[in-house]
Amino acid sequence: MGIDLVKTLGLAVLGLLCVVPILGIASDVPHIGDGASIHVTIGGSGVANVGGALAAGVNAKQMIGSYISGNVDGKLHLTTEIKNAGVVNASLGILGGSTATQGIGSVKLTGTVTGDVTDQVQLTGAGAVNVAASVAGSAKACQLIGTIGLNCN
Amino acid sequence: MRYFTLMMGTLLVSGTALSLDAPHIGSGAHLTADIGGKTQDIGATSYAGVVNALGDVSGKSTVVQNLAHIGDASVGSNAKIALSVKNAGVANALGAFEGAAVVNQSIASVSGGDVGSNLTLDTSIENAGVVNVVGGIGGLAKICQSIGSIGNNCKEKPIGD
Repeated sequence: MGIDLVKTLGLAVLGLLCVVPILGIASDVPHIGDGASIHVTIGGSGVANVGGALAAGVNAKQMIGSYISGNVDGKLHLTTEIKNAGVVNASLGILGGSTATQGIGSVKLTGTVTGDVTDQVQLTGAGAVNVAASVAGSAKACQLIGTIGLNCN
Repeated sequence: MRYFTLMMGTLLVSGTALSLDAPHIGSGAHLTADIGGKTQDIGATSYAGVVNALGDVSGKSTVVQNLAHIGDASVGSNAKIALSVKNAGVANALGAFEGAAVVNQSIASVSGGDVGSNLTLDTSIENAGVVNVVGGIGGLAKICQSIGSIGNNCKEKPIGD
């Protein structure tokens, strides 16, 4: 009886180890079927992530028309057009230990795209600014526009 | 054996409950949001058409604004999200946030779940702004803005870390 109980508990623990991670992983990142298209048009006014001062140790992340994470089973088309208005991530300075990341029409490869990737970014008459003021020591300001991969290593 | 059966039964029930928490949508789902009108003046301040949190917040806070967004859902094929911001702006948080805050604005995006083939995200921002935070932010805050994107910007580590 004692040995059977140990075996039973052992199997139960194995079951937990197998089943719980599967349930947990399922909702962590999005899964898209065959083909995804993203179109973003920003016209006569701006887009801002933070319009105020940032204290130390802050993460400010702005992603527009981008693939951040997940899995796409097929083609991925990204089209971003910014016309007469600016796009700003942090409009004031960032202090030490902070990170400001701006991605526009970018693919940050945390995941898999199995098909072709088309990425088109058009800026006309407007700017894209990651940090619009001073950056203190040990801060990171990373800007990705129409890129694939990382730029902040 | 009955312990094992009991344990597995609990797991299956838990698993079923988890999957039922998220919505299941068939094929051809369309989310369309048109934000029009004009900006309104209240006192000396001009406010946007859609505002999530207005005022100062201290302590640990979470401010989340999702517009035309698929979160933890199962959606069939040919899903289309279309968002148009015309003459009135969209703001997530207006005010000062002290302490550890998470301020997340996700517009016309897919941050999680399972979506079938031919997903289309269309975002058009015309004559009004889209702002996540207007105001000061305290230390250790996480401020995330996703527009027309796939993935969860707020769960990802900073690029390069």
